[in-house]
Amino acid sequence: MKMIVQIALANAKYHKSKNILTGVTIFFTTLLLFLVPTIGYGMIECQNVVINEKYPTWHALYRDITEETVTKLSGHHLVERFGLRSDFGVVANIEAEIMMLYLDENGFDLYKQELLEGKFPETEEEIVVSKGVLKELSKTGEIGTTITIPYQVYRNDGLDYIQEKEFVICGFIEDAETNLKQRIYSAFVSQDLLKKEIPAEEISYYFLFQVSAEDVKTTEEMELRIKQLAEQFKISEQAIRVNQEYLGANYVDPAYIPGIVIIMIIIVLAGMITIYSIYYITMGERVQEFGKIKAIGATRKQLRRIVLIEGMIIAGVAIPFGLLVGTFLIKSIYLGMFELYQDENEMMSIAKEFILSGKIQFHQLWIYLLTVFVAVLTVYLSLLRPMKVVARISEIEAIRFHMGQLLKKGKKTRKGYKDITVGKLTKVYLAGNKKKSIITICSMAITGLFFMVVATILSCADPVDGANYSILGEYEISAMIELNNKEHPELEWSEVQKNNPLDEELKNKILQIEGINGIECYQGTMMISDAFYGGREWIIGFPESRKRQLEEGIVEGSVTYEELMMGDKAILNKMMLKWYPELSIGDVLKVVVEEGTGGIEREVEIVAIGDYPMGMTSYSCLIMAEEGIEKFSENNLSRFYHIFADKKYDPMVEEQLRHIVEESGRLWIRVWEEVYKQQKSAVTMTSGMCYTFLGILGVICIMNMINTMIHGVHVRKKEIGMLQAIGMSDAQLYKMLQLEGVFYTAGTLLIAVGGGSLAGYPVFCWAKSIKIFDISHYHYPVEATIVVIVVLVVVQYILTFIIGRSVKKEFLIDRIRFSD
Amino acid sequence: MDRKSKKKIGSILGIIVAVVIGIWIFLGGIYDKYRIQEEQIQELILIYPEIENEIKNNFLYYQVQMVQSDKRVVITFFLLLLGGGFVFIKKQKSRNLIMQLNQKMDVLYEQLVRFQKGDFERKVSYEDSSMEESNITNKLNNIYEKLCELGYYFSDLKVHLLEEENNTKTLITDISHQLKTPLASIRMCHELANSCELSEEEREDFLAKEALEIKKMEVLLKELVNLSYLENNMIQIHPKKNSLKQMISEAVSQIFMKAYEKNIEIYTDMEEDIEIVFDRKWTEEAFVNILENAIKYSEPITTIGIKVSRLPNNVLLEVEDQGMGILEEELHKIFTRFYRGSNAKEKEGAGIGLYLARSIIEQQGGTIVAKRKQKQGTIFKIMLPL
Amino acid sequence: MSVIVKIQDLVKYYYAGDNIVKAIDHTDLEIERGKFTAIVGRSGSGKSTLLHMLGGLDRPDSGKVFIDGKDIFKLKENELAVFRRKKIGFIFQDYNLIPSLNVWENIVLPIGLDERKVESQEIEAILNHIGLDDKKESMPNTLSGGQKQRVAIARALASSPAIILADEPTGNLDSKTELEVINLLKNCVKTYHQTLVMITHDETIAQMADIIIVIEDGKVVKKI
Repeated sequence: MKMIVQIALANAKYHKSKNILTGVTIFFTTLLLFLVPTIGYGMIECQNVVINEKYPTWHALYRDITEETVTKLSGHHLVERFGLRSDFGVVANIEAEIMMLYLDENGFDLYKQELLEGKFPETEEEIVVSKGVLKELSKTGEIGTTITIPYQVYRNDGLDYIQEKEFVICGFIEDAETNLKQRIYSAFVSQDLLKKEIPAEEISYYFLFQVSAEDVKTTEEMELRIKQLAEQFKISEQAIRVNQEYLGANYVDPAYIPGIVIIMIIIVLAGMITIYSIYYITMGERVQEFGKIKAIGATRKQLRRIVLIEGMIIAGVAIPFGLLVGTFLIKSIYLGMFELYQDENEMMSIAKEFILSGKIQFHQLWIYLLTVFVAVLTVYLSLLRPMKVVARISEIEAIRFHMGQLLKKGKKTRKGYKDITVGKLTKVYLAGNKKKSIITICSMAITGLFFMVVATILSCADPVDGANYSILGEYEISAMIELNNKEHPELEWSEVQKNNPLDEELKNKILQIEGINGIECYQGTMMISDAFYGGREWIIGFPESRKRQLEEGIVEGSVTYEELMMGDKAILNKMMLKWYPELSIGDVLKVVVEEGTGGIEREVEIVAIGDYPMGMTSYSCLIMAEEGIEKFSENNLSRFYHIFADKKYDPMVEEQLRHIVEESGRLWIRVWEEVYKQQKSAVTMTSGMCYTFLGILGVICIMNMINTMIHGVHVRKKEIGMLQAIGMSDAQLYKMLQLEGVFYTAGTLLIAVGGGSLAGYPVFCWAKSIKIFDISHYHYPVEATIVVIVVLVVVQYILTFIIGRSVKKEFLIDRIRFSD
Repeated sequence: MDRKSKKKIGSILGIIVAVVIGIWIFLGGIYDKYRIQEEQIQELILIYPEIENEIKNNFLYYQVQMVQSDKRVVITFFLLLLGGGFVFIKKQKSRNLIMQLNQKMDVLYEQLVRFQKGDFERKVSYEDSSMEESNITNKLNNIYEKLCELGYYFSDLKVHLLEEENNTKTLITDISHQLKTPLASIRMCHELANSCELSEEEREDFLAKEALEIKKMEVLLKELVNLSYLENNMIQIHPKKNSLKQMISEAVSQIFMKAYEKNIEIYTDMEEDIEIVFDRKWTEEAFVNILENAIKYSEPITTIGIKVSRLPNNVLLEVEDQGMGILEEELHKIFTRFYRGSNAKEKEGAGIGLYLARSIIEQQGGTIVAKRKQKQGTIFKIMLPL
Repeated sequence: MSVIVKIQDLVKYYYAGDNIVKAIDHTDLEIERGKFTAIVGRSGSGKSTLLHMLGGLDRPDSGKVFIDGKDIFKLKENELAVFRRKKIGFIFQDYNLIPSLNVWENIVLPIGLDERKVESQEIEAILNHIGLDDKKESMPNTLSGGQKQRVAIARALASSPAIILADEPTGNLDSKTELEVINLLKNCVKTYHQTLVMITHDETIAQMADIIIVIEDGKVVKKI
C-alpha cells in the first residue's frame, strides 16, 4: 500500500501539467459546489432573519372568533401559544389612519410589539400610543397624560357614530418607518373598553396562535394542521390566514431543495466531463507507463488504486483550496449582490446590515462537509472509467505501444494529399485524433450549449417585454376593490359598480393631461360558480379595437369577436387552467354574476381557450367581448383604464395621474415604469447570478481545451521538434497550433452557438408556456453569443500563443531527443 | 540606421502628423458647430427668457438629429481613414516587394554573367533581408540557391578534371616506380646469369629466379593495366542481366589453382541462382581480386567461404577467410590505391586489387566493406543492387 | 574541392551536476562539397552534438559554423528555420516520421513547409529509387524499420538540400539492412550531387565514406 501511494505521488508530480489542470477543474468545481448551496442557504437565511425580525411570530390567525370558541381553542393540545386581537375602532376626524385595537399580552408578543415604556392598558381609560399617533393627533404627552380622542367604534354593520373620550396614556410603542410613511398607526386599548363599548355578541376576536410543530417538518404539513384545526371548530377557510412568511422562514420549504440539487448535479456533471476528458486525453500516453508497472507485477486492483490515489491527492490539494477561496469570496459576493439590489428591496438593506453585524452566519459546517463529499464524489466518479481502462491494460500492449501508433491502429494506408501544407498537416493530425477532438469539442460544447440555452431564456426575459406583458399601456388605473373586507364594505365589487369611479368624468380628466394619447377601457365583472369551487372569478371584456388580438390569441377552439358579444360564450384564459384544470371547451358554467343587487344567474359556455398578456386579462378567468359584459349589468362595469402616453415614462404625467388617483381615494394606479423597474431588477439579479454560475462553469470547460491543446503539444514535442528540424518556421508552428485551436473553437462554437440557438427556441417556448419570468417574445441572445465567441476565440488565441512560446523556449535539440 | 530607413521613418511620421491634424481639424469643426449652437441657445434665452423651455426643447430636437447625422459622418470618416490607410499600406508593401524583386533579379543576372566568365565560385553578395517572405521572393531565393549550387557543381567538376590530370601524372610516376624494383631484379638476375663465371647450376638458379620475377612483373603489369583503364575511365561498365552463380563459379575457377597450391578449401553457400543486372567481365575481375587477396593472406589448410544472400533491394556476397585479418585502424585504408597492410609487406602485389574491386562495385551502385571477424580472418561484404 | 561546411573553434559544454561534459572542445573542421563524410567516434565523444551544430539544431557556446560561407548562428531563429529547410536534410536514428501522415505526405512535407509546389515525378523517382513506390499510401507504423528509414531518407532527399546530415541512421537496423540503407543513401547523394555527413560508431559503415573523421572527447583526432 505504501508503495502504491508512493507511485501515485510520483505520478502526480510527473504529470504536473495535466494534474494542475485537473486540480484547477476540481478547484472550480468545489468552488461552485460550495457557493451554490451557500448562496442558496444564505439567501433563505437572510430572508428568514429579516422575516423573524419584522414579521409577527404567529403561525396563523382565525378571524371572527367568539369568546366561547377562544376558550375552547385555547385548550386544544395543538395550540401552543395564542394571543387575542380585536378591532375596536378608528380615530376619527384626522387624515392619518389610526386603528384602535385590543391586543392581549401574548398578542403583543406575537405581533412583535414591545412597549418602550409603561404598561399594557388595563382599565377603560388606559391607552397605549406611539409618538407618531400623538403627532397625528397634534398632541403631546407622556405616561399619565390625559388626552381626548374622537373615535368610531366598529359594529357589525360598520362604523358607529363618532364619540369622544378621555384616555390616559399608559404606555408607548415605537413607530416603524412604514407607519410614518404611510401614516397608518395603531393605538391599543384595554379589553374592558372593548367589552364596555361593544355588545358581547358582537365582539369578534382574531385568534392568533402558534401551532405545535411536533412531528411536522415542512410548512405544508403545518398549514395542513392549521386547516384541520379550523375544520374541527367549524371555522370557514376564509377566516384563516396563515403567516406564510414566518412559517417559511422557520420551517423547511421543500420547494428550494430540488432547485439546489439540480444545479449541483449540473456542476458535478460539468466537473466530471472535464476531469474525465482530461484523463482520457492523457491516457494514451500513460498506458505504457501503467503497462510497465503491471509487467513488473502490479495487480489490477493496485493499478486502479494508483489512479484513484493520484486523483485523490490532487483533490486533496484542490478541494481545501476551493473551500478556502469560497469562504473568502462568499461575504463579498453577498455584499456585492445586496449593493446591486438594495435600492429595490428594503429587505436587502436589512439583510446587509445583518451580514455586516455578523448576525447571519453563512459558514455552515454541513455545507462544507456536503461540498467535500460531493467534490470527492465527482472526482471519484470521473476516475471510474480511467481506472477501468488502466486495469484492462495488457502488459504486452503497453510495452509495444508507441506513442502515436496506437492512435492509428487498424488503418494501414490512407489516400493522402499530393502536397502538404501546414493546413493539411493540421487537418490530417486532427483527423487522426478524431476521438480526442470529438471528446474535447463535445465536452466543451455541452457547457456552451447549456450556456446558450440559459442565455436565450435570460435574454427573452427582457424587462421591457415583462413589463409590456404585465401591464397594457403606460399607466393603468383601476377602481380600488377589496373583497370580504368587513372594514370596508364599500370596496366590495358589488358596491363599487354602483358608483364606479371609472366614469366618463375621470376619462375626460385623464385625457386632458398633456402627453396622454388615449384610454382603453376594459369592462369586467365578478362571478361565482361551482366550477370555481364556489369562489369568485373575474370575467373581462375586450374592447372592439382588440378584436384581432382577441381572435389571434386563441390557442384552442375557435370563436369570433362577434360571437362573444352575446354574453353567453366566453374564452377561458389559458393561465387559469392551472387552477381549474378540469375546465375545457364546451363546458357550460352556471354562474352568478354580481351586479349589485345580489346577483343574477347566467350560463356561460367556454368556446375556446386563449393566451393573452397579463396586462390585458389581469388575472381574469374568462374573456368576452365588451358588449357581452355590458349585457350582465346596468351598472358601470369598467374595470381598467389602460392609459397610453406619448412617452413610456414622464414624471409630469405620472404626477398628474397620481394626483387624480389620490383625489378620488378610490382608485388604484400602476405605472409601466415601475413594473419595468421591478422586472429589471429581478432579471438583473437572476441573470447576474446565472451568468456568474455559467461563467465558472465555462472556466471549467475551458480547462478542457487547455488540456487538449497542451497535451497535444506535449505528446508531439518530438514531432514538432522534428518538423522544425526539417524546416518548419516559428510562424508555421504558430499557424499549425492556431489552426488546431481554431478547429476546437470552431467545432465548439458550431455546436454551442448553432445548437444552442436551435435548442434555445423550443426551450423558450417551454419557458413561455410555464411563464418563467413572464417571457413572451423570443429574443436571440446576441450579447451572450458574442461573449461566448469572443471569449473562446481570445482564450484559444492566448492559449496558442502561450503554448507556442513554451515550445519555443525549449531548445530544438532537446525536443528531438525527448523520448518519453 | 541607413538613409533609406531614416527617410521611411520620416515619411511615416509625416503621415501620422497629417492624419492627426486632419482628425483634429475635423473633430474641432464638429465641436465648434455644437458650441456655436449652444451659444445661440443662450443668446435666444437671454432675449426671450419666457420661452426658455420651448427654445431648449426645439434645439434639443435638432441637436439629436444633428448628433445622429454627425455620428454617421464621423463613422464614415473613420471608415474612409481606415480604408485609406489599408490601401496605403498595401500599396507600400507591393512597392517594397517590387523593389526587392528588382534587386534580386539583378543579383541573379550578375551571378549568371559570372558563370559565363567561368567564375563559378564567387557569389554575388545577396541580401536575404526580408523577414516576411512572400511567395515570389521565396521562389527567387530558391532559384538563387539552386544557381549557386549549380556553380559549385561546375567548379567541382573543374577541380575534378584537374585532379584527374594530376592523377594520371602521379599514376605514371607510381607505375614507373612500381615497375622499377622488379625490373632491377630481373636485370640483375639476367646479368648474373649471363656472366660467365657462374657454374651451370648457379646459372639455372638465376634463370629460375629471373623467370619468377618476370612472372611477378606480369601480374603487376596486368594490375597496372587495369588500374590505368580505371583511372582513365577506360573501364566501360556494360550491365546486363546475368546469372550471379555463373559469375561466381568462373571467378572461383580462375583462382582455384592458387588455392589448391596452398591447400585452401573454397566452399559456396548459395541457395538459388539470382539473376541481376551487372557487368559480368569487370565484376568477375573484382571478385577474383577479392578472392586472390583472401588466398594470399590465408595460411595453408584453411577455408574460404562464399555466401550469397538476397536482401530486399540488393544481393549480398560475403567472402569470409581465416587469414591474418586486418588491423582495425587499417580497415578503411585497404581500399585505397597502393595501400598495403603493415603485416602484408612481404607478399607480392602492388595494393591495387581491392582498390580496383571497390571502384568496379561502386560504379555499379554497389558497395564493398571489410569487416574483422572476432577470432581471426576477415569478411568482405559486397553488395550489388538487384 | 570546395568546402561546404566550415567549423571554427567550436565549443559546447554541458553541465551535468558538478561535472562539465565537453561535448565539443575547440574544434575546427571542414567538410568538402559533394563528398560522403563519416564522423566516427564512441558514444559520448560529441559526434552527435557536432552534427546538431552543423544543422543549426543546437547553438554552440562559442565558435562559428559556416554553411556555404554563411555563419548560421548569426541568423535569427526564424531565418535559421528557413535556411535549414532550404539547405539541410536530416535523417535521424529513430526515423522521426510524422505518424499521422502517410509515406508520401511524410516525404513531401519539407517541400510543403517551404511552400513550394511538389514535383510529383521527381518524388516518384526518389520513391522508385528507394524501392517504396508501392508504399506511397502506407502509414508509417505499418512499415519495417528499414522501410521507415528509407522514407526518412526520401524525405531528406525530396527537398533536394545541399547537405544531408544523418545521425546514426542505421542505429536501429540489423547489419544487412544497415548496409542496404547506407548504400542507398550513398547512391542517392551521388545521384543528386549532395553532400552527406553521417555519424556512426561502426567502423564497417564508415568504410563506405569518402572521408572519415574521427572524434574523441569533443575533438577531431583524425581525418582520413
